[in-house]
This record gives sequence, C-alpha cells and structure tokens, in this order.
Amino acid sequence: MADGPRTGADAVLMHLRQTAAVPSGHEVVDGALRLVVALARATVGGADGASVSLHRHGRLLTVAATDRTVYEMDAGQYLTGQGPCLSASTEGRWFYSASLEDEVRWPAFVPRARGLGINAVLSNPLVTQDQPVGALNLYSRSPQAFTDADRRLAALIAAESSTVLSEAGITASDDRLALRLTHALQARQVIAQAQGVIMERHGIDPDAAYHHLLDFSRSSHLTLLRRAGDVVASSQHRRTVVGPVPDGAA
Amino acid sequence: MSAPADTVLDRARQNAGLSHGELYLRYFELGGMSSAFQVEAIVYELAEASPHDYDVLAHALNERFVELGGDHPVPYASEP
Repeated sequence: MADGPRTGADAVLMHLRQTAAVPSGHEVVDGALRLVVALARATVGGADGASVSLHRHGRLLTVAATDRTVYEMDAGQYLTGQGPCLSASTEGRWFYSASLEDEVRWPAFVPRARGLGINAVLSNPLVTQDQPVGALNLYSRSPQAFTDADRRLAALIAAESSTVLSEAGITASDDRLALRLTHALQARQVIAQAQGVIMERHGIDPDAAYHHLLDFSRSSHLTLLRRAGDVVASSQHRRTVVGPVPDGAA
Repeated sequence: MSAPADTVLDRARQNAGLSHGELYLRYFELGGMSSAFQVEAIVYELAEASPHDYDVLAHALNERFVELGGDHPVPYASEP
C-alpha cells in the first residue's frame, strides 16, 4: 500500500503540502498531538498504547506515541507497507482488528505485531479538507479490548484532532489551539470522573448522573465543569477522611 | 443553497456571539458525543438530538449567557 500506484503520489504530495505548510506551527501541532495520544490512552478503555501518524515529507511518520512498543508497531507497518494505520491513513476510513490471531488482512505486519505482544488494533483516520492526512492508532495487548463505546470515543478524539489539524493549516502560529484542545479534553475527563462518582453514590446511569451535574449547574449558575471538579475532589477527600462528607447535590 | 432556517438554537448561538466552531468546542468540553457536523444539523433543526444531547448543547449555550451576565434563556429538553 505504501508503494501504491504512482497516481497516489500526487495525492500524497497534496496532503504533504497541506500538513507541512505550517512551518512555525509544527511544534504547536506536535505538542497537541502528544497530548492527544496521552489522553487517548488514558480515556479509551482497553488502550495500552496510542500514536498519531501523519503524512510528512512524502511519507508516513509517527509524530506522537505513548511508548516504545507503539513506535515499533507503527514502524513495522511503514516497513511492511501493511497494517491498519497505513490503511486508515491512506483510505481515510477506520480499521479495526479485534483479534490479530484471527486477522487475515496485512499478513506481513500481523506476526510482527503479535511478536510485540499486541493483540488488538484500532486506527481512525485524521482528515482535513476531505483528505486523509494520517491516523490515530490505538493498540491493546488484550484481544476484544475495545468496546463499542471505546470505538466511538476514539473516533471522536480523531475527529477533534482532525479539526485541530485543519485549523493549524490556517492559523499555525496560534498556540491557542493546543491550549483549547488541552482544556477541552481535560474538562471531558473531569466530567466523566464526576459522572462515575455520582453513578456509584446514587446507583444511577450515566445520563442521570450527568443531569445531576447539569441540574446543579442550572440552579447555582456555577459551571458544570466546576461542579464536576468539586464532586471529584469530594470523592478523593472521602477516601482520606473518616466520616460523612457533605454531598451538596441539588 | 437557501439560507438556513431561523431556529431557536441558532438564534441563541448568534445572540451568544458564538461561531459554530466555538459552540461545538464548548459542547465537546461538556462531554457531548456528536460530531461537529451533527451539532450544526441539530442547531438548524435538520437532525433530531436525543434529549440528553440536546440538553448538553442547550447548557453549552446557557453557560455562555451566564458568562455574558445573563440567565439560562435556552430551554432544556428535560425540565427539572
């Protein structure tokens, strides 16, 4: 696939221009992508490692990765010209292998992956201006590691990262992009943690837990994120202090 | 292509001084799970949101109005 038809080279060059036409912005974008892989690994259940590959200088490169095994997984795909990362980056759609033991696509790549102890792979394309420019790759040591919800979250993170890349092409020197993305992903994580705490405390489902936060925010004019932060902090406090802690729920 | 319909959410978005991108980012920050494209469709009433999703979007707008010194003018799908 890496040595695809020559007609593909023009498209790759076009992607390259789109992604590389940000000379002063690479550091900013790469910083944001390092954050993306760290948060993807932390928030997508089942993910043992994550990376972002981008078309740069006419070939696919790993721009951010959570660990060495992940780098080697990506490198194995570039070397063999096969694998979900390459497929997603080239075809612009997601590729998922729930169990590499049963995987018949990418025969040159699969034995390398299993040799590194990886058993499930999920690659989501990164797309700007309707063109694939790279992929967000998630790797797991366990087969069947990614649930439907994990896959939806991974797709959402990839979509959000694509937006950042698109915007970076226009306002590359603007490091607010990295800050905005940092804030957005951290906020989501705090809210999700608070939902978990409320679900456990009250024995309710995720949507009901979310409305718990929302109703409090509505009646108090405190932001939902602020309320979520308080809930998370109170649960940490509970672990270290004996005795009841005011729940403060509306 | 004709101009998008005048809708409750889009009027609120404009009154809040938010671009579609800004609104989406705020919705995403609050844990919204729909894509930017879907959210824009919901704003223009071209797609139907789940009550939960609608409330996340309404709250994203209302938090902006609170920042601007206002109240919560955008109605929620589920009233408490």
